[in-house]
Amino acid sequence: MKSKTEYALIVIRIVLGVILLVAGLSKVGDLNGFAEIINNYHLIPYQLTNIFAIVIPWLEIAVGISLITGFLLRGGTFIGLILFFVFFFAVSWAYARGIDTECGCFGALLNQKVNLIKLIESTGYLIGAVLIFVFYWRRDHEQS
Amino acid sequence: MLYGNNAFRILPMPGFVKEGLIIILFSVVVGIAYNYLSGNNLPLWRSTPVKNFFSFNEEPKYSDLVSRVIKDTVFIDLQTAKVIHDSGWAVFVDARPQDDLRYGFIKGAVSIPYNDVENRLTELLHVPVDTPVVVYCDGAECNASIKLASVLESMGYRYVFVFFGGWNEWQNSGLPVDTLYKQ
Repeated sequence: MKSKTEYALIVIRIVLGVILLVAGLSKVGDLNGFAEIINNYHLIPYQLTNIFAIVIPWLEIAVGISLITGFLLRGGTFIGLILFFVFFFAVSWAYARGIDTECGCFGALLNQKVNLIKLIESTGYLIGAVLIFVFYWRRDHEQS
Repeated sequence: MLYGNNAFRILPMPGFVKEGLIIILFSVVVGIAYNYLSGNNLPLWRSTPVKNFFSFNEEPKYSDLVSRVIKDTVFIDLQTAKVIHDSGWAVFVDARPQDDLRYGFIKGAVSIPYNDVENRLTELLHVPVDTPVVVYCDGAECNASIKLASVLESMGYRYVFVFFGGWNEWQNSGLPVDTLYKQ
């Protein structure tokens, strides 16, 4: 019934969902700290850092739940792809510019710096996000 | 073409965009509500580049510099650094590696390279701990000034400011500088 590919994609989907959910939950505990970390990246004008700090954790939680439960899955894979792309871009950018900052990936509490390992991690997540988006987008189109 | 689930058939948009917008809308609403309900109260529009930031327009009195400083490191902008420099109340400290100072440093600044901090702290032996100190390095992305400020605070210096624009901003504005090797 379900192909091996589909099972593999479901696993990836749920794993990414759990990662996002944990990431989001770890950030809501310290919005101020997260805002400062966003500021460190110098990717957006400082005036906007608070709005991002307020919205991103809940975006992660929402997409995480979507990926895990399959609720609004098309939206989940789509926004998830955007999120992972933005994170990948931010980590690459900070790494390339030699900015010494906490990743902020799992909140301001966990001490994870932006380094090569983070970069490889981000790339892996992005690849996973692309795979599930393409898979579910194709399946969506085939069903119509 | 699948246009979303039945409830939203009126809107001619691909399903993933529609669902994506629902997710974004949810996150914005819940995020803002949570911000206020949880007590975080982050202002939606941020007015200062960093936390613990204050600025002066005119030359501060000594009492201005020491009255409002709180436990965490305080950040100041170019304008404030300039008026503090003019007032003469503060000692400026350059946290950059020794070599960087050949090309110039803020006039009157003391060199305490953060990469050699243990050996260089003696430069401040003659400076009382209630003297305001302004620490700087290259510019906004350089963390040496912030780390050096922490070291100074732990040594007992109570009024430590970080000029986050750093040497780049000071020099670009044509403010008073010194160089190690006079022509």
